[in-house]
Amino acid sequence: MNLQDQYRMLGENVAKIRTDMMKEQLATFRSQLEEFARKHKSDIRKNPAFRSQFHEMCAKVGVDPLASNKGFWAELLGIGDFYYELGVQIVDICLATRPHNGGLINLQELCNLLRQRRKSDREAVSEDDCLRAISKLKVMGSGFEVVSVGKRKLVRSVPTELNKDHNEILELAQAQGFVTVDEVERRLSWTSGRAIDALDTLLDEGLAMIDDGHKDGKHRYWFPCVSSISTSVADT
Amino acid sequence: MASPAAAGPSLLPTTDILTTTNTSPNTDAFVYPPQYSFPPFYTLQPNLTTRASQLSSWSGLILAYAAHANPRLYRLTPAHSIFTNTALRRTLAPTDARLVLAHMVEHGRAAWTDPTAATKARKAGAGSDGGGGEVWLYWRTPEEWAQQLGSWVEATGQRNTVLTLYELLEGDATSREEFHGLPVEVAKSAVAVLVRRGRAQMLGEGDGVGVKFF
Repeated sequence: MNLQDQYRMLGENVAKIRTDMMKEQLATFRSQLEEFARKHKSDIRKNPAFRSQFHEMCAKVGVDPLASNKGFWAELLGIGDFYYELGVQIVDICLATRPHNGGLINLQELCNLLRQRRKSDREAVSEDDCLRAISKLKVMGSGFEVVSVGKRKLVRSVPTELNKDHNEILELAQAQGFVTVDEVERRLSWTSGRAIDALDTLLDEGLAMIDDGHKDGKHRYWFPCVSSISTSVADT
Repeated sequence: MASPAAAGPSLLPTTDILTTTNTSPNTDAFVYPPQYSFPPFYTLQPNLTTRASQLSSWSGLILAYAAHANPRLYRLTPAHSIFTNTALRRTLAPTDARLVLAHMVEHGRAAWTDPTAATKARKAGAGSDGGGGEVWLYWRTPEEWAQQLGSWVEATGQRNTVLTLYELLEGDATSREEFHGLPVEVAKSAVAVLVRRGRAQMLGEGDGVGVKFF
């Protein structure tokens, strides 16, 4: 055996030892994570802030507690059912408010409506929980998606793609809840044709509502998805 | 069989419960739905889906408001103050308010007080000249009023007795019932429901109209 072969074998050994060690460390870590989860089960279920931190910790070590409903984690924590239920309720709310907001709803408002609906439940729901439940809906190909417009997160439940122009208008509208054609032209430096086109599309999609009652005579385009008007879920 | 007068006292506990839960005048301020503070709510929406949602929100608001008002509101015109939000400086124009009322009529939640004028106005292009714009509000449907009338007659043992509409709607015996004070026209549509079901019969004409319940 020559020197070169000896070096190679030594190298392989070292590599194997290191892999084994890492595997062992990871296994220890996982079992500790499991033990942690078991110990803090009720905190995870009841405290949304704690739950969110736990999710973050899991993500770092490559564990997805929501990956399978039959999995160890879901069984241990029962959180699979929790998110499944949230998902169903989110779909319900999005459908019920769609005639009013055109299928685009403020995440904050969605959460408020969700809490109203679950008020009998002791377990609190955070925006983070909503986002997780929605990401699970997305996997099912339901067309649910979270879009960021300016500082806000909006939940989209219709297949309409918002183009860049629409996004910019929605962002502009966040300040007052509405925009005028003038304002869009001026603030975004668009031609009036471009502004009117984009606003008309938003009207057609049911995302905008027109208000021609102001004394200055200018049409105002309001957006229920960014105006913080809570919709009472239609009962008639 | 006990006479209504003798049956009265023994029924008091039940009516008391009804009074507190059901028919006490509302003293709480009316809570307007969020849409009421949303300026575009006062402009008829061009998008038909959005408009349908808008009309049904208006209908819900009007019915809730009418049932909550003290005294309760039974009729409404397109010029009513409910269509104006002074704080917001917005008014749903009478022509558009008329569409809201038409939507309610279509969904059985109102009836034109003058159906012929309403038809004429529609043919003339929905003018807001006051002709045919007024409705009876059905925050309880005629079916629901019929149910209440029937239950009251049953509970007070007055089946097969002829009662005048005036007695039913204005008499002391019904002062604690929700249907007390109901306009004769609305009450008649409720009785008509019972007549169709063979549970009542209308007798006489005009002010002295009487009803016999079976």
